[in-house]
Amino acid sequence: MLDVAGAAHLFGGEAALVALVEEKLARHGARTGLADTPEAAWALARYGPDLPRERILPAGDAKALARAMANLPVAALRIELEAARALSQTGLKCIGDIVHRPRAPIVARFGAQVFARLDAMMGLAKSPISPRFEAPAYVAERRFAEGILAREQIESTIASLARDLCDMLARHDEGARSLAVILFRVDGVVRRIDCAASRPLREPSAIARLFREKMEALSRDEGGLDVGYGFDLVRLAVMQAEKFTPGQSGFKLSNLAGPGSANDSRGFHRVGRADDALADFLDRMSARFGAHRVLRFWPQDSHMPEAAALAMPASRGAPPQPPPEPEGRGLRPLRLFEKPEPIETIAEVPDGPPLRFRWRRAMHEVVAIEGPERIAPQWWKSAAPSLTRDYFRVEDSNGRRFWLYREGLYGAQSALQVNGPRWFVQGLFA
Amino acid sequence: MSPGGRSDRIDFLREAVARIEAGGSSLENKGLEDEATRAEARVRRRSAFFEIAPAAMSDGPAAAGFALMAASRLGAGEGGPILWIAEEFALLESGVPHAPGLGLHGVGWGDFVLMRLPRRADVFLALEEAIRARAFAAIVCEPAGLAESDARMFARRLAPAARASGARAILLRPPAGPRAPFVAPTPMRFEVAARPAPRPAAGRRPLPGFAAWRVRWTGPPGSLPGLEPGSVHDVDLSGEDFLSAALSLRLPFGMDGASPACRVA
Repeated sequence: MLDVAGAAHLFGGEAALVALVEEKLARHGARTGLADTPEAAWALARYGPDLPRERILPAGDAKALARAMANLPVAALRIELEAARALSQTGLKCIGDIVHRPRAPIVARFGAQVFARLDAMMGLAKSPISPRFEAPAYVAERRFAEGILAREQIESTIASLARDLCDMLARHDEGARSLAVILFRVDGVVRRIDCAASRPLREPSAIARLFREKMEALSRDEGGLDVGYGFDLVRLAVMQAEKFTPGQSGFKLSNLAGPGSANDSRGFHRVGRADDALADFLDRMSARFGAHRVLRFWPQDSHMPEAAALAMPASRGAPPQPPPEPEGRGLRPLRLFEKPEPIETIAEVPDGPPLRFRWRRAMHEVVAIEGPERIAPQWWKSAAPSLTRDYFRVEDSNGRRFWLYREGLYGAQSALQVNGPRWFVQGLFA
Repeated sequence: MSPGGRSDRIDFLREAVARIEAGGSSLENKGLEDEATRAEARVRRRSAFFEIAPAAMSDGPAAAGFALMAASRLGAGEGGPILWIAEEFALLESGVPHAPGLGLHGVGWGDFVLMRLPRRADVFLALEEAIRARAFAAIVCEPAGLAESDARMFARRLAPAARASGARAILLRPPAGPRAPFVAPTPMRFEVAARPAPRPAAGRRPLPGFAAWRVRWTGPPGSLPGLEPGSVHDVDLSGEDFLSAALSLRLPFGMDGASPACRVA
């Protein structure tokens, strides 16, 4: 089962994707089906028409889905064989035969599963896809005769498993970049906790510390692990391992140029410790608060201000150098609003720069202005039309500096600017 | 006005360079330089925890710019990036630090880490951890709001931790307001307001200047020689007087030999 939502265009569309999959798996005799729900796709793949293109249903078309499913046999509902056979014997051979029938008699005779599957197939009930996880590179696990309940017990077990795991990693000269603790509850419930590291880790205490932070975050956000009757199996797995080079952590290119550089072994040692401390801090904070909350800015190949820098998890490492600024590009503000805030402006002439503007209910008198810097929309990236922006760097009478833009052009006819150009404040200078 | 005001800006820069060449920098004097070095060492040793507050709510960006410049100067040569820990609501209200705009304050893309956290308690927890980690050149902490009593408590708790670990932490506070005067027990505390910067004239209306601040030092008497509590100083990216006296800090431009086109006013 593949979730291809939003990905089919990368393969030239859904038909091309289906053709590619069938071609690659032809020797296994595979058939595919593509639909809005997993149940419908499953049914199409097994009981659908012979032509591959007829096994692709249009996205978001509930009527087409109902039409396509109506002719399929009841076995396509993925119900038990006896139930499917019994339904057929009563004359209900196709899905279309039961869709509009009263539900109560069928449920009473054949069980609730029939309509549960039917609702999931038609998109009336949720049916999530359970992902298949990648096989871990290294695994250490411990079983318990009775389930363990206390958080301290779980943490000490993880620390102990981390030691075993690090021995394995050392034998292969590797370090862990991605780890998972899988906790198996006595009653069969499985809980998985993932952690990532910004450098290959092979230190048991660092691994244990990462999971301690994660457990702390869980207890804060979710009230802790639901231990139930306890966990009788704790598994620590390395999901992604990388080559571990001990000397690498003490090396920094910038150290070659400055004082205490290449010939100064103490300098190397100091920088190495600082780098380790930084990586350790970023990993711990990412584990505690989530990787999306500890960020570094990566330069992007875009002239749109809001897209020029992409905030990426800091655990991915330091960003590359940004490209040189293009000739004639104006200054950029210190702070940028994620959503530009509309302002009211008064100008001398309609298409002139503002003389004063109102933002957050305060009037600002413009005493100095630089611009316009025209930024055209990225028409080659987005099919949705957007408007040209003219940016102005503005200083008001109190010395506060703003980055304003006018969206749209005077005199231009566009459905996007019915009432003429609009003004926004997008950034603030110090 | 020329396109983008570029030639006006270049003329303005030329004039600024000519003034510097004619008058010389205050740090050219050897005695002053020694004094500045001593002051810097003193400041670094004694004042690991700074508090910066805007004079009014609308001076928030100015205070943030001053904090970033101070962080870049305090952390110069220390290694490690600058860590900016902000409460989510503060970023919604004041905007997110914009990487292409950091260069004006002497901070490169690779030297900046942002933590955006949902709760104030998380912000201070992260600040405390960062102070202890000894991994950052400087740390700027920006909560969305802070009661005076809380500010005092955090200052009392974090200032000794910062001194002990050698970290340089800056608490970027919201404005105190008239009913809650800015009196936290931190020796290095400043109230910052935006100020019209020196600017080149061009046509009918001049071009905006670069970063400039009016800084009121609200530290306790005697903690910085030559400065009186409440004294007001004008600081901008082309002047060194106040910073070299108070913090012994040179300004970001010229430190890394970067192109002055977008750094000097």
